[in-house]
Amino acid sequence: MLNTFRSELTKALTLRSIQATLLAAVLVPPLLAFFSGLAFDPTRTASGGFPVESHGFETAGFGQPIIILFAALLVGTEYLDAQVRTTLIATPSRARIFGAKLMITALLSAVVAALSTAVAVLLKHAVLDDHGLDLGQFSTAMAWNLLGVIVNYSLLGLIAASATMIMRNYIAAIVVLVPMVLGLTISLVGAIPLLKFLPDLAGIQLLTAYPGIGLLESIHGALVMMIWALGLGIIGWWLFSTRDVGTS
Amino acid sequence: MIEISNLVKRHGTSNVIDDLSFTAHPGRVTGFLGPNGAGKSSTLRILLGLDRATAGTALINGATYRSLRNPLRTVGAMLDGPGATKGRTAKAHLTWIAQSNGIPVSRINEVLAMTGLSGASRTRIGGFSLGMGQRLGIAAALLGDPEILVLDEPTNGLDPDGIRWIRRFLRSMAAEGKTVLVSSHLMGEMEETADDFVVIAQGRVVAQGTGDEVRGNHSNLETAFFALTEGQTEYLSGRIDGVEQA
Repeated sequence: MLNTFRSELTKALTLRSIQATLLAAVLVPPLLAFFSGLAFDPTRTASGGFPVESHGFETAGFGQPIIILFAALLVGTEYLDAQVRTTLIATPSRARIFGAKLMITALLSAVVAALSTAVAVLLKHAVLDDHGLDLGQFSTAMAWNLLGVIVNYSLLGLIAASATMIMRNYIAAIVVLVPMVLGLTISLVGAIPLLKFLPDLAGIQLLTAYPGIGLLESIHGALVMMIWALGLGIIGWWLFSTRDVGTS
Repeated sequence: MIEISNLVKRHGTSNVIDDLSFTAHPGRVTGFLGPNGAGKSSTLRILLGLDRATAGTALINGATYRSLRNPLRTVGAMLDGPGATKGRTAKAHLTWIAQSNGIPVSRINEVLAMTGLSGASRTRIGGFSLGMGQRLGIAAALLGDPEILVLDEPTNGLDPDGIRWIRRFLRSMAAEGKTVLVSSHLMGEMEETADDFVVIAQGRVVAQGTGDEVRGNHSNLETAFFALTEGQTEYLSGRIDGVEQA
């Protein structure tokens, strides 16, 4: 399994498209946090409206489409140029390939979440100066929030990876998942409350609080996201392990 | 040694491979021949564990490919081109393949040199010519210094120099005692290279043996091939644009 993991990690990190996607996922939230800090106007913020401890976390949502792109590329490039044939000739155990891909997806998504969110929060509070918190004032709740982002990104990556495995096409997975995290579902949840159980909305409060629109609490949302990841993972595994490679 | 026994592959109601049996022996180049759509690639995909057989077995040294722990140390294979993502460099492509089977990374430079790709190791595969892509596929197949080579149409798209290189390469592998199974739809191309021939059409063996045995009473192997596969190709024999030729 170690050989397969190393091989799959090398595969992931030697494609420019994946390198660029990971870099963007690390840089975009901190950059947005920095500029939103510069644009912060305390006179226009209602007292008690936006908790000071949430500063920086609100940009984590912008990393989600990039995580989806990363996971879809990691799996979907197997089906470009018939690479999956070479992969399965080198490692005929489909369980090892599938397991290594999901582990790498979750691991790299978690690393990106930890890096980008930690830097975004630090930058935002530094830029906010007197309106932000000093390092010593950072609370346990903020650490839990950081863990929430890590869980959200990891599960979202697993969902995107499994969806791509099912469809054998990264474009299809991106077309389905990216509009969801870009606001399609949150704009409709008021009219259709059941949408709160979709994978993107279920775990959205792991990133930052969205009070007053009837979303699942973060723990329940994480559980629903896990069920989605598990369900899609089982379907993806079943198809990957039983399908002929054919001429793909 | 490669042993294909009573292999069947069914898609819907049609048999792509229909009770196929043959053996490829060490120290010999076995030409696996047949017209397009005869079932050559399907057979090789089953042999390499990529597709499942409906019935029958395809074994490598008595075991299925999927049961091999580090298969590249036993079998080197190239099916229909290099199977490599175009955005990766040749060296990166060979690196992940080597790592998957615990092959020392130092072996990469050796196979790049053997296939004449040393100067292109840091070139992205998208910039490769067709011939370079084929040679990269062969370099990947050689990584584990395997005792068995399985190559599907390795001369596709190659210029005459490339074809000559492949012929010499295959002969040298057999001379080292390796089992070499090469598919092709061109009998003339294999005539000078292979020791043994397996000719299939519509998923069935229509002839197998040495060159003399397959040639029979025909003037050469190519004529024998056309006679053996007459009426069993994807084309209508003797017809162009659906009009029977005189």
